[in-house]
Amino acid sequence: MTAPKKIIYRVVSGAISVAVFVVIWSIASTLFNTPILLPSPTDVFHSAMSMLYEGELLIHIGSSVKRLIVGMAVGVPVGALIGCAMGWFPTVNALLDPYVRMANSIPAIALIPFSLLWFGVSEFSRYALIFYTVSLCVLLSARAGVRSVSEIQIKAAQSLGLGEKEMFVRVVIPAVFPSILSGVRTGIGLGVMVIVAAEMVGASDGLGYLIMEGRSHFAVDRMIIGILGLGLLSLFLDRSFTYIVEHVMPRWSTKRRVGN
Amino acid sequence: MAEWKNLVIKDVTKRFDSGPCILSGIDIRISRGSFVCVLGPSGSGKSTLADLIAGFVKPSTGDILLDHEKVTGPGPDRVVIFQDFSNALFPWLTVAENVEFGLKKIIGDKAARRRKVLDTLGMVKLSDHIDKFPSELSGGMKQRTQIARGIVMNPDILLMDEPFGALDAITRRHLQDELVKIWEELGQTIIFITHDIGEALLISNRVLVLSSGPNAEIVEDFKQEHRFEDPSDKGFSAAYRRIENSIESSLKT
Repeated sequence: MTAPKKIIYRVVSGAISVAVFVVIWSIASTLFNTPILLPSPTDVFHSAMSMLYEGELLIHIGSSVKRLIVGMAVGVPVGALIGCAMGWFPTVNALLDPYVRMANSIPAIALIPFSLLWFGVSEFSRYALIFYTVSLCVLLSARAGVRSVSEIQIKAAQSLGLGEKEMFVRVVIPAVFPSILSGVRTGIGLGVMVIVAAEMVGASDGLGYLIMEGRSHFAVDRMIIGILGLGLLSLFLDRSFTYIVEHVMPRWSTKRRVGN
Repeated sequence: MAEWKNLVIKDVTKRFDSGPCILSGIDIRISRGSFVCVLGPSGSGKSTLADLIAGFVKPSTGDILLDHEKVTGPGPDRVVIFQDFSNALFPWLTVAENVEFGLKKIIGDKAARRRKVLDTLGMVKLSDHIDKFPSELSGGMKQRTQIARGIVMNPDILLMDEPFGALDAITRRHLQDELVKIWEELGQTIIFITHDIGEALLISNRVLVLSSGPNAEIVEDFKQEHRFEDPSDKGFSAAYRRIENSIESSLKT
């Protein structure tokens, strides 16, 4: 398929997918006929428009995105460094692996009460939860990435005069970078999930708050806006991230790594 | 040329853990500036010998010396060119950056370093591709990049482990010729591992034949005063048969 044809194909298939979803939803809400439980797509669209017009929607989206970005800005480098160190230095791995395995089965949601106890109902408590989720996710993919660094690359660098520490900085980390980026991508998805949980407790804005607030005021349209908003936010962030990697920093794209 | 070092492999044996002895009693002196091919059947320990010289593994007994100095590990005085060029290059670096990789520790001045990189890339005919990434190169171009990355370090020994084994016949022929030209121009020692007798005779001035393992040893040390230019040259088929025979007889014993 040529490039323009590909774009048309994607736009058309996307439009059909959305149209089918909206049609099913309309039919369901008409049959259900209880707008207070399932409003029609048009009602939700109107509410969304007025929320957008009043600036309320952007505040919620902005708060959620801000929390995600702060949590990731700290979580990604920390996770990447610890993960690389664990993959490269067996001692570091032996020391930390049991905790990583345990943490892997402890979702951020299970830590919410603890986080509230320690940090109170604060922004910091929400950042901490996102940090926890994202750093763990990036750590795991960085560690797996280090273990898959080609032995020949290591030998080549040794032969060119690199010692072990330089090897870590000049070969291991760059070789692992695509794995770290794919960890970040997974981290975005998981991070959005955690935002909701974090915002359901004590927050006064954000998409997660919007859902809870909608429930307590019986405003199902606002709940739906919150839910769809989260999904769309995640989709948007994921696509933008992939686009940025491919176009702004192509040397770190996984595509470059397919040799031959 | 005199600045380069001689390589002496002194009574080296190698076995891994409690496994069989792979190489036994290897005793070779390779003087600076020679182009030596190491030939041998599969499993004869050619690559083990290369790994020993490179310093990736240590001999079980015996020593490997560079002008009386013991080889204790890998280093830029013995740069290795690998067969698997797709994995040997750093995919996040361009051709020029790959070549510059080891040089960063040697030449501090950025402009001088860049000049040297460009000169070397000119020698391997990659001047038009300096900003490409390895994933954008053909196999032959990748291998040229690897050769440039090696020779730019000005090593005592360029250690090539079946470097052209994964290339098509035409590209291989071109690269053989170019390698010989580079060697004639620079003059450092090249140790070239191969299982192709014809290749060995056409590029090198000395062919060492390893017997089949275990306990592989040097069964033939064939020195040629004049390298064969072409397989149709007088004496080529005689030399070919002589080496083939020593490989054959080493298989029987």
